[in-house]
Amino acid sequence: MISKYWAVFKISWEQGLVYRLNFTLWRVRSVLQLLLVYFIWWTVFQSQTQVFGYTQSSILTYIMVAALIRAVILSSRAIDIAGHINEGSVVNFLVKPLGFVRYYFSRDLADKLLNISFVLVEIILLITILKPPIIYQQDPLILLLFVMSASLGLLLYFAIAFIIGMLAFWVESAWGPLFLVTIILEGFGGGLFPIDILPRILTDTLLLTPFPYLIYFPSRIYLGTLPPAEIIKGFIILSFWILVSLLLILKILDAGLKRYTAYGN
Amino acid sequence: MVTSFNKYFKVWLRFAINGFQTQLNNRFALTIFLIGKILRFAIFTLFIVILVSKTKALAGYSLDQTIFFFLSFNLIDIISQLLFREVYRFRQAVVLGTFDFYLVKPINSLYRSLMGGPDLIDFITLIPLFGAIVFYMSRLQMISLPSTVLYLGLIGVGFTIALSFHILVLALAVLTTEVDHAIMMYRDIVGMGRFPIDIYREPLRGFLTFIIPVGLMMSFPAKAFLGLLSPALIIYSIVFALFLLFFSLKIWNYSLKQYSSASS
Repeated sequence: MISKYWAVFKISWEQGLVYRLNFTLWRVRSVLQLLLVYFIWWTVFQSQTQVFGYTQSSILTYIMVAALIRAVILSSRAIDIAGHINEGSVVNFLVKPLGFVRYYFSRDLADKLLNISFVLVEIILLITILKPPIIYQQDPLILLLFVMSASLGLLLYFAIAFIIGMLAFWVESAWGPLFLVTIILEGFGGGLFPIDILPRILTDTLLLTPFPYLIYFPSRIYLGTLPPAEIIKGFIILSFWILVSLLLILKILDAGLKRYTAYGN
Repeated sequence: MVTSFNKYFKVWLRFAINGFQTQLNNRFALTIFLIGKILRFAIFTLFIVILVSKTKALAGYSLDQTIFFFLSFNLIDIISQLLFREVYRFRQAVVLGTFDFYLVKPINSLYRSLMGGPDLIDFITLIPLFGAIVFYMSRLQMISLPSTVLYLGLIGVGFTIALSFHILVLALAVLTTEVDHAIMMYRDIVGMGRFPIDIYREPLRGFLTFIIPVGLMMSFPAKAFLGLLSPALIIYSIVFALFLLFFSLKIWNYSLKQYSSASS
């Protein structure tokens, strides 16, 4: 049972290594995006010691951790399902003894592992070159909560991307909704800035949506400044969204497959 | 010359009408992408407003000035995307061999490859952007005929550099069939010019000004309007843009000589 998905994982990993130029350029692009955000905040702290309750070291640590999380979470292959639906190759899954969701999740994990290994090297290089005053979190409990929140965030993004991919059962292209979600994630998920710099009412509203739990929440946990009550509340909301999105996957997949018609030879 | 211009303008209008009609066929995607682009613009603007209102200045620039830099970046970026959207689809033309048809038609193949698919979404977003730029120009209280002419001239320089980069991407596509990452790399590098180039630390700032001319493209127009650019740098940017355009055309011609068609 597991060996099937282990094989999918290994093949996806090897595929990632085959298209080395593609992968390298994707990583270079991520570094460029990181540099823009990094230098905005670096400039701000040339004339201030504290802004929005963040010190230079806490915000630059946030930026680096957010970059790491983003590389892990956004490197998802779940959206490939849209292409498979549009091309008709999704029909292969219907006749093979392979779990639809588990297949894509195995591919997702392989892609994430590849990205993690690269992003760690990039961040170490950037820290060596730029020498930012980074906070090295040493509290094992906080590190454990950080890993847990990032892992749950990974699961949530997979579910969101998978749901968007399945829209291809109904619409011609699912890239538009994914583009929209990526923009919301960058802006209101904490990719560009920690969302608690926004007006309080906006932050509180956003914290009820799934987006901040993908980048902002794990990054804030890593800083070690989030009160325990907020961490518990965050995990409850995050779990709620995972549950909702997993249920939605099952419902949408069922409805989509009922609607799907294949033709040809 | 005028006849030739008229001919190419008519052809472009036909490309634009065809492109817009195609996009209007898929209204769902059009709406979503339009909302996405507006949202991205709004998020960046909100971020700038919140950040610079709190810190009073960013790299020495006031809130209005920082927004003006951001608007100027968007102006060059959106015009480039509006006009050169076809570059994003060029790989298909090379791989499938349809580029052969571009070469045999009585329209310049570079023109066809660059401007064959204007983007309706960018056209829609361009109109309010013009309004915002004029509004911020008057708010900055620096508006005068020389500063406006200089600003528009350097927007032209930025646009020429953008044009040159798009030509280089096309040439790369002819030589290697690689487009997607090259054009997205260009977008990401250029995206570093959303904020005044002064936010970057040396040697990165120098690199982004003189080697990869993001600063020259995106920051110089706003700087010139604010009276912060020396005549030497203005001349340098014009010479650089012309040289880059000349170089990109040479590379394009070289790539055509190497082209062997997908079917051969």
